[in-house]
Amino acid sequence: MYTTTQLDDILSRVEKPARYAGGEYNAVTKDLAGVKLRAAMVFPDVYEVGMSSLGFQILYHFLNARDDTYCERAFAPWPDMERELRGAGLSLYTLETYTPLGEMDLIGFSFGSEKTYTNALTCLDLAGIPVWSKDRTGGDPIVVAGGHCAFSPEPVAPFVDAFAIGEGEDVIGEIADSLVASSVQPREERVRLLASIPGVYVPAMLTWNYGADGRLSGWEAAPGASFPVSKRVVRDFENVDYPRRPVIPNMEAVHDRISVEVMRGCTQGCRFCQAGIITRPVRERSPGRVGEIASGLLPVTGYDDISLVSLSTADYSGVDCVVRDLVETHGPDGVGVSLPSLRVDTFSVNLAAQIQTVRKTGLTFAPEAGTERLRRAINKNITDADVFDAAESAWRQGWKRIKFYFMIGLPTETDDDIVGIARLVREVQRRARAGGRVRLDVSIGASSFVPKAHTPFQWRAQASPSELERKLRLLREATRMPGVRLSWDDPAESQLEAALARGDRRLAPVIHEAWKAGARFDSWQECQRWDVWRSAFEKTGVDPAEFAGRRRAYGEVLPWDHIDSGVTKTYLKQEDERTLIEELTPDCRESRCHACGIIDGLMPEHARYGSCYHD
Amino acid sequence: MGAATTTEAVLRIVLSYSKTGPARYLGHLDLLRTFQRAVRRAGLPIAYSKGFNPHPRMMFASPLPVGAAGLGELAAMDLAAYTDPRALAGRLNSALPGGVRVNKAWLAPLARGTFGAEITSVWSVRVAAPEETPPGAVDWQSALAGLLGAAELRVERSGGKVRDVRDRLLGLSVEEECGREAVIEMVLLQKDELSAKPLDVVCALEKRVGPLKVVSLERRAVTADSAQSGGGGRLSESPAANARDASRASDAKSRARGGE
Repeated sequence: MYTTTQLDDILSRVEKPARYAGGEYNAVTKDLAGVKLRAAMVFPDVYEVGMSSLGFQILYHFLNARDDTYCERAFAPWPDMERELRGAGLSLYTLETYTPLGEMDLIGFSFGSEKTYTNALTCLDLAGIPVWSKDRTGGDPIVVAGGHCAFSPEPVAPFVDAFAIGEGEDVIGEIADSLVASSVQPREERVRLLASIPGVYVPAMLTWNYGADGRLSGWEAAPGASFPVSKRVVRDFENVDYPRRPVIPNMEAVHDRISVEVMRGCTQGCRFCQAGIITRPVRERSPGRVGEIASGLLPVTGYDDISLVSLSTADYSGVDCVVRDLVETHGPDGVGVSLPSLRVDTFSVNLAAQIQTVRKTGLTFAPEAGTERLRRAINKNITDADVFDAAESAWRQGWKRIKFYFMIGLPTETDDDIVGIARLVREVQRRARAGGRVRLDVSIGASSFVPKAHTPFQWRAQASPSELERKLRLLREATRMPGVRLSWDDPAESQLEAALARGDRRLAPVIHEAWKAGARFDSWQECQRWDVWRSAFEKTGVDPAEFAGRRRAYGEVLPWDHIDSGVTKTYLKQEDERTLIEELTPDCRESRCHACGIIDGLMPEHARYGSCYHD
Repeated sequence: MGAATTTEAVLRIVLSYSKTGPARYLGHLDLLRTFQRAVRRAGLPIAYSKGFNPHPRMMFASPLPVGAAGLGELAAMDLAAYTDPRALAGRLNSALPGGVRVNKAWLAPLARGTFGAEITSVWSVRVAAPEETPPGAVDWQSALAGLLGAAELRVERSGGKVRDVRDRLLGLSVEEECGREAVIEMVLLQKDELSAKPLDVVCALEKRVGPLKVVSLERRAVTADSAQSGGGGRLSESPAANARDASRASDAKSRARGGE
């Protein structure tokens, strides 16, 4: 345990010392006497981002709810703090007790983005923990990782002892039980025992075979392991526990508010969306339960904003009445309600109008593609008329600014689809001018399409960086008009993300090499070093295009075939094929069951959607 | 958190609080947010400002630099309903994060302003001469005497403006001497938005004794030379006294109103 005097000296020199000081309201303190398992949840990004992650707070809560476990927190240090820690010969430490991470029994990483992988290596290395799983011995903590990235874990598999696949609160207790029970056993055995827990993947127990073409040809499971590993799912989402006393950040976080999950899963079925597949099936919380959770959190947090979170909150069947109830009950106390995601329709705009009485911020919509044709191809069920209606509803209710998110480089995209973005935006503005004499400011966020594992587009090639550059130039020219602002991602960043998102274990040395050469905080513009990544790929002889830019055959062994999301490959392939005929697959809650597999495979007791959803 | 019936201010409570340990690293805006949330958690009937975007009526005297500890910091909040200051301090303390603690709270008359134009602070600044300095080699006493005897203390402020803050330097003394380190007590004045800062004094001192490192920075007390903090650290002893204070507070308020 470090003393504050040891830390004062370095904290006085870093840019935002509150990130590393701890002492927050609701941070858990425990008498170590009864504790058998010491754990640290480590978020591989800065404090302000990690403290905003609901998943991070959920796992912290679940572990600390156990009498035999003490879970603390740590976050990736910004480069200035990394330098100071190294300079002073100090380890990365937990914020609760200033204990070096190396003294923990369990280190938990939450991977929500591939661009945080290098930060995880920094955290391990700063704690004196070998970054390669195979080099860890005796008293080294057991490193477990989860989050959406765990569904395609191979690029970081050699750094991680075990992955928890799926919803963490469903499995974290069993992991803790196992580690408590195995505390006297050798480390290797403890890790091996974790593999017997459903939903836990131990990379050391799977060996990949490669064919003559250098590509994966299959795997061999170690004795005692079986694959694929099926994800864990919370069955009783209505009653599952949640952070009763979330830790309140001491400095402004990205999301400084109460987050109440109203729903998990999404049945919109956008073909590019990974979250929509891996979080199936859809489960809702009753409006009563949502209200109860929100009311309970207000006095213990002091927040004045309640966010109703899910992948698509406008699809939550109780959204209308929950919003109304919350505004009625807590509005007089100065508490606001916010919705993180809006659908492109007037219903959503009216909801936003209800809660945002002051039109301070703009409204954000994600049509994703510029033409109806391409939207059909990616199964984004929105017509141009929907976009016009939503925008009109917005300016009629007082909004002067709208933000649209689009993707470029989507499968089957033509130049006309890109120019279509400009046409759509121009028409939105024209209607506002003609119909309401409103000068509507539009900002466009354009990101490059990144094919992800477990989606209908998992076999698709990503457009090359130079092709994406060309498409961006086209978009920049087409959208050069008054009242329109365009922002975009660097195609190099998108290619890296695509390689890391669909890579196999050969990506691990690339990540290690880039990290050694200084890659840090790869999603932060001020830190991005593509030169470092380029030379890491060259040095290790790995071609990023092999993983990012190659169309894969349906029969190919995929590096995430050993992870079962519950949705079948047959369904994903069928969806991918419907792209070519530009055929929509409607929301299964509003039409019929499309047999994606989730109900039959994972939750046979769960109601089938479609015909029986409204029963 | 009961439904607020009114948010109009009826009385002011002044707080003397400390900011130590991990809370030293809270920036001023973080501290404001922390107090605002603590007030909500404690369910205190805070008053809100009027206007399009009402905000809770809380005031803080003279922000501390990040990293510095404060033992007797001053804040004030306006309440929409009478609350016993001692009870308020207790409720706030159970709602504040580690290192922030209200030590005293007392009633004060409502007024439009905050802490007046003159704020005096007493600092304990621990400085260290370079490692190779033999113990006792620095004559702290005479260096400080030299600073106090000088006619001016010129410091550079934002925009490269050079100002003389000698008359903002009220007192200097050696609190403690140990090896190559010394704790220097500084009494500094902030007036008309110009103040002498602890680091101004350290810089001036360096010109006399050579390079110094600031080991720790602690503000022991802040006093505001204004009517609002007229309680001068006094806690009202009895409910009757509190009620008297409250009624005086509302008198003051109606007077202030009349003058608007």
